[in-house]
Amino acid sequence: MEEVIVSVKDVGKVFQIPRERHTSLKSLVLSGWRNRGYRRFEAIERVDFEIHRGEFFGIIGQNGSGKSTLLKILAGIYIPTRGKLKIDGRLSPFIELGVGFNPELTARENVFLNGAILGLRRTEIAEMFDEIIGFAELEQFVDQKLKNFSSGMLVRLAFSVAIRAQAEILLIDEVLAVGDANFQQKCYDVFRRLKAEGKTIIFVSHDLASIKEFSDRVLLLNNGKTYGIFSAGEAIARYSELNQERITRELEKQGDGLEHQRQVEWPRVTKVQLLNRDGERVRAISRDEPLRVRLTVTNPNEMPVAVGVAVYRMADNLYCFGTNTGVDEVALTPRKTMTVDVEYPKFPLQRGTYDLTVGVFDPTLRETYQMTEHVLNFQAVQADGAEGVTFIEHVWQQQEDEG
Amino acid sequence: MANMAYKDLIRELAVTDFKLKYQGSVLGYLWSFAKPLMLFAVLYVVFTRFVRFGGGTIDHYSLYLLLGIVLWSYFTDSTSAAMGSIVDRGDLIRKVYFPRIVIVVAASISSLITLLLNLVVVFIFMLVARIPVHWAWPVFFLLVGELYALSLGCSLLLSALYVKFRDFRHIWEVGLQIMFYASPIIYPLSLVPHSFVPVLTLSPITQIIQDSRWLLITPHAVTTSDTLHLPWVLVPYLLPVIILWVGYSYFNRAAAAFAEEI
Repeated sequence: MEEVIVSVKDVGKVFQIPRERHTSLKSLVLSGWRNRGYRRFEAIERVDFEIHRGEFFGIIGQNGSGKSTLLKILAGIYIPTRGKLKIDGRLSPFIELGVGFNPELTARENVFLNGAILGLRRTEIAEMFDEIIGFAELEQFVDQKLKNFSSGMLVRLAFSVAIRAQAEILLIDEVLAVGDANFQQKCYDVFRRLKAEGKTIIFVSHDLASIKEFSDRVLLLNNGKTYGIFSAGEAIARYSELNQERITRELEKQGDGLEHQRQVEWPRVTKVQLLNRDGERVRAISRDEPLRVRLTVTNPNEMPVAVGVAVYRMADNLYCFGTNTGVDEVALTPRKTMTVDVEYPKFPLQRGTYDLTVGVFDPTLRETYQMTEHVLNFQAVQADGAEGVTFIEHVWQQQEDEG
Repeated sequence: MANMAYKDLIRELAVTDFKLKYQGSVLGYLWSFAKPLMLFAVLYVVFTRFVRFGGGTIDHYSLYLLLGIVLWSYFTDSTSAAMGSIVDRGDLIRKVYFPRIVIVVAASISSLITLLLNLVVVFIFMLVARIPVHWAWPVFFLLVGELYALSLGCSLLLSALYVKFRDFRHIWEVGLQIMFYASPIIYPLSLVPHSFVPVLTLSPITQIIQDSRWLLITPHAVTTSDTLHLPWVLVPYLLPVIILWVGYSYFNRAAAAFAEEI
C-alpha cells in the first residue's frame, strides 16, 4: 500500500570551493595551473530517507544543516557526489517562487515566462491564465509591469503560477513566511487540497507551526546528516533540543572570546530558555498565555549587572519589544551564577516567527558586557484571523440607531 | 512531451530577450531596421564617394559590403551575447532544473530574429538596386543555417568556458578582431595577395559571406570553390559541423556543475 515515490540512499554532496589565490607567483608556477587548491565543504554527509506516495513530508534543520542542498539535489539542480536517488514521478523542478520573474515585463508576460520555466506548455498556461490571475487577486493589474508591484502582489502571483506546475511531487521551500494573513490562509487551503488530491509534498520550512499542522512525517537534519525521521510533534521537540544545545555552545564560545581579549571574566548570558506557565520549555507560544524567558548569567566576579531581552520578528527583523532591568529599575543581586526570569502575563504577538536578542549591561546601561542577537527563535500561533504585529484588546459594539 | 515544453521555454526566453533589448527606447523594434539602414547610408557615402576599393570591379559594392557586415555582425552579436547567457541566468540555474542548453539556444535565436529583420532591409535594397531575382536565392537560407550552426557551436563552447574562466570575454574580443580583419568583410578578396587567398578562404566565415554575395549580389564575388580544390574545399563546410559537435559535447559535460560554479 505504501508505495515509495522518492528514495534517497546514503546521499552526500561535497562542494569544491576554490581557495583565494594568495600564493606567490613562484608557488603558482610550481604548483601549476591544475593545482589551484580547493577547500572541501561537505554540505551533506549522509542522508537516507524514503517518501511515500501521497505523503506530506516536512524537512527541518538549523541554518547550515544542509536543507537547501538536499532540496536542490531532489530538484535535480545539484548532482549528488555519492549515493543513490530514485524518484518515481514528475517532480516540480524549482525550489523558489517567482524564479525568472522580470520586472520590466507585465504580469501577463511573466506568467507565461515563469510557467514555461516551470515546464508548462504555452497552451496549458493560456487555458489556466484567468484562474492564475484570479487566485492571485490581480485582475486589475494584468498588464502592468512587475516593477510596480508590491512584494505581496509578487508572492501571490508567484505562488499562483507555482501551484499549477504539473507535478506529482511538489517541492516547497519557505513560502508561508510572506504574504498577508489572508493569503496565507489561501495557501493553507491549497496545501489541504493538494494533500487531498493525493499529491506528494516535500515541505522545507522554519515555520514550525505549519510543519506541525501539515506534515505526516518530518526529517530532521543536523550538520548534514539525518538526525532522524519523526512524527511532526516529536521532530519539533528534538529540533528545540538541538537548538538549545547550539545556543549554549555559542554563548559559551562568545564568552571565551571576550575573556581571551580582555583578561577579565565579564558577566555573560550562558543559557536562554522559553517556558510556559507550567515551567516547560516551549518553542511555540499563544498570545493569551503567560510566557517566561529564563536567562542564566555567569558572573564570576559578582559584578553588578542589568540584563535585557528584546524580541524581533524574523521575516523583516522588526524590533517588536525590548526592555531590561535597568530601565525597569529592578535591582539584581550579583552572584557567580544568576538565574533571572522575565515573565510576560500575555505575549500579544501575531502569527509568525520571532527571535530573541539578549544582553548584559552595567546597571547604569553605559557599558554593554555582552549582546547576543537572535539567540532563540519561536513561533507565535493564533486561532483567529486578526492581522498586524500585535494584538490590541478590543470590543465591537453596535450603537442603537434610529429608523 | 517534456521536449515540447522545453521548446516553449526556448521560445519564451528568446522572445523575452528580444523584447527587453528594445525596452524603453522610443523607436523600439524599428531599431532592428534603422540600424542596417543607417549603416548602408554610411557605406554608400564612404565607398562610392570617398574611397573606391572594389569600385570598378564589383557591382553594387555598397550592397556587397552591407550583406557581409550584416552576416558578420550576427556572428559577433550572437556569440558575445550567448557567452554570458549562462552566467547572467545564474538565478535561474541555481533555482530551477531544466536542460541548460535551452538558455544558449534561446539567446542564439533571439540574435537570429535580429539577423532576419536586418536581412529584410538588405532584400529591400537589393530590389531597389534592381538586382535580378534569381530562382536559386532560397539556397541562401542554407547558408544562414550554416552560419547559425557555426555561431551556436561557438556559443555553447564559450558560454560553458565563461562559467569557469571569465578571461574568455577578452580572449573572444581579440579573437573576433583578428577574424574580422582576416576575413574579406570590408575589403574585396581581389586586393589580397594571391598566395594568401586560399588560406583566408578556409575560414567558414569567409566562405559563408562570399557564397552569399555570389548568390545574391554579384557573380563577381570570389568564392571558396574558386580558390580551393578537393579535399580542401570541404574544410569550411565541415568546420561548423565539427565546432557544433565539440561545443555541444563540452557543454553537456560541463552543464551538470553550472549550478555550483556560477
